[in-house]
Amino acid sequence: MNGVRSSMALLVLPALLAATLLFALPLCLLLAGSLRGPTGWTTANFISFLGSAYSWQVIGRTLRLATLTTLVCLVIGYPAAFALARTRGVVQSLCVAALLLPLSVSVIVKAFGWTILLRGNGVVNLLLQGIGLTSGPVRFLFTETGLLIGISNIFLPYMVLPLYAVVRQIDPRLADAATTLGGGPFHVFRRVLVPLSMPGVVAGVSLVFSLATGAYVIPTLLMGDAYQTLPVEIATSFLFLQDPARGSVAGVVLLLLSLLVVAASGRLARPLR
Amino acid sequence: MAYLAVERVSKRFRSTVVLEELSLQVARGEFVSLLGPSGCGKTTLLRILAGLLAADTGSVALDGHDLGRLPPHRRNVSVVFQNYALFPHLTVAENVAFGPRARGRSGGDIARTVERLLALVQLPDMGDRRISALSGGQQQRVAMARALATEPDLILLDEPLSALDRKLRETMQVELRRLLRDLGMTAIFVTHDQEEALALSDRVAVMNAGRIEQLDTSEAVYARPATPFVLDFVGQSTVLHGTVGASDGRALTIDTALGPVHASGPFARGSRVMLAVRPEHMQPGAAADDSWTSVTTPVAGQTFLGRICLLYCSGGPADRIIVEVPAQVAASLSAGGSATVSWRIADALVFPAP
Repeated sequence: MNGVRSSMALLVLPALLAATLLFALPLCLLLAGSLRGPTGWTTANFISFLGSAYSWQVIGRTLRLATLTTLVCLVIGYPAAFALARTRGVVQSLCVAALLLPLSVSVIVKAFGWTILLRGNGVVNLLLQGIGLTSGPVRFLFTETGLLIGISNIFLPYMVLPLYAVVRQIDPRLADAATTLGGGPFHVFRRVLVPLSMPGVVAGVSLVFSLATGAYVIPTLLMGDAYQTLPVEIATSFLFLQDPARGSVAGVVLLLLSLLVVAASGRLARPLR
Repeated sequence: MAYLAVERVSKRFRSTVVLEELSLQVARGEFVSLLGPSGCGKTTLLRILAGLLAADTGSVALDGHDLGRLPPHRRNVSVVFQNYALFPHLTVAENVAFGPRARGRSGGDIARTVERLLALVQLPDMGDRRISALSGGQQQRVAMARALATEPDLILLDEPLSALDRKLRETMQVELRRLLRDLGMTAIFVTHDQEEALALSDRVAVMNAGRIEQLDTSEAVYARPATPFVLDFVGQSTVLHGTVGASDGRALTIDTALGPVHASGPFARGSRVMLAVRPEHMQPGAAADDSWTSVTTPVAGQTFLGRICLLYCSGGPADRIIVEVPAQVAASLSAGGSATVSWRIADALVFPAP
């Protein structure tokens, strides 16, 4: 028994090593960098970062972008996951493939793709004018709407896949049972399907939210440098301002924000169960 | 006027006919089983009664009201599902309360209903438990309580006991029957287990290929099966195939692979027939008098069942002979030998050969 257990422990070793070397160690270095001043350990970096109104603007913008992205993905992804779970056979395989394939394309390529689609004479504008919804070209590039369209599209699979995995495990007879007990369609949805899909919602929301808070390429390409979020701020600090302390502090703040939201989403979902 | 009236209901999935012009009348408070092999359409009929599936043609009326295309949540018909379909995210009490709550009953009313039903199914003080913390038998009781909590006009049971082990199943059968009888509940019970159907039901509908082959009391279905299918599906029996050698329109002599046997029935000379006798109507030994007939047959084997023993003998290719004999008699009839077995002519059933 002991032998089995120790050989099991051996199986975890590579993952443990990789996590330590590639994840825990850099995190410690990041934390150390944020607490290091010219004369030794200090909290001055944090005080100066958190004391500036500009930093709070950046934090606010990051949270706003992540929240909106998560909402859009949830609104689009939730019904999609249910539809996907109800399909069968070839149709289901095709849909899942359509969802997975874009993940194999680089984020940069997809973000560039959106800059082409969204520009003044891009497909989106031609389409809008073609069907008569607008008379002239609508400005999408370098607007928050354009950014939201692009970023939601790119992160949508991360919402749909965990949701789909959970929803398809829901026994369809539970909905049958609920409806024979007198539950109308909305009651069945609210009291049975929503609570049972909550683990998927929590997983999808956590994934998309942390991805969106950490997104660098997409806001940069679709909004330009004027739109400063925490990841953009980190890059600017390291690359242009040569201020590693400020970058490290922003990194720690970003990490804490993501962790906080991921931890909170599980909690907040509980009353819905 | 029947309480539940199913009139010429048909249902097909693509080209497969699942129900074919099926009609069924059930009286108020009656317990009717739908018995048949898998794929005979019994679950489809149940889903149509519940409103979970729409019939292609035909009508269903309950207590004089046409259920038509009424959606399931507007019918007052409860279902106990196979494997129960209990809500895993809710407690026992919340599961039972689901129906009353969906129907907008008041809080105090719901609490009283839940308490009464949990007491009824002998699960008091279990209201706060998680479904996953219950045994199979307990889950079955919660499913019953949940279905009864809406005070349904009709309760449909879809193989509700099939997930339980044999011993528990027998206990639950008795309990289920008593509970529904006490409440005067009209129930349709779907099963492929003939013993269960015979033990529980006021009447049994034996289904095959989308039709009801016979609808009658348990005793009648067993003693007087209407078709070879019912004979074959319900209980065991001796089956001998043959040709009518002599007939006076009533008394027959049938030439079988084991020689001529006497029977009675309205068959003409030369017709191909199938003769069937239940094992308990067969006995070892020669015919006692003119009202009996007998054959001599090689013994193929026997099955010991405690007090009695089933003796298997062989005949023609499609024939089988099963005789119920007391265990002490069976010892002298070993495989490889031969035995003379007899039965009363009146106890044999004769069908046209299928």
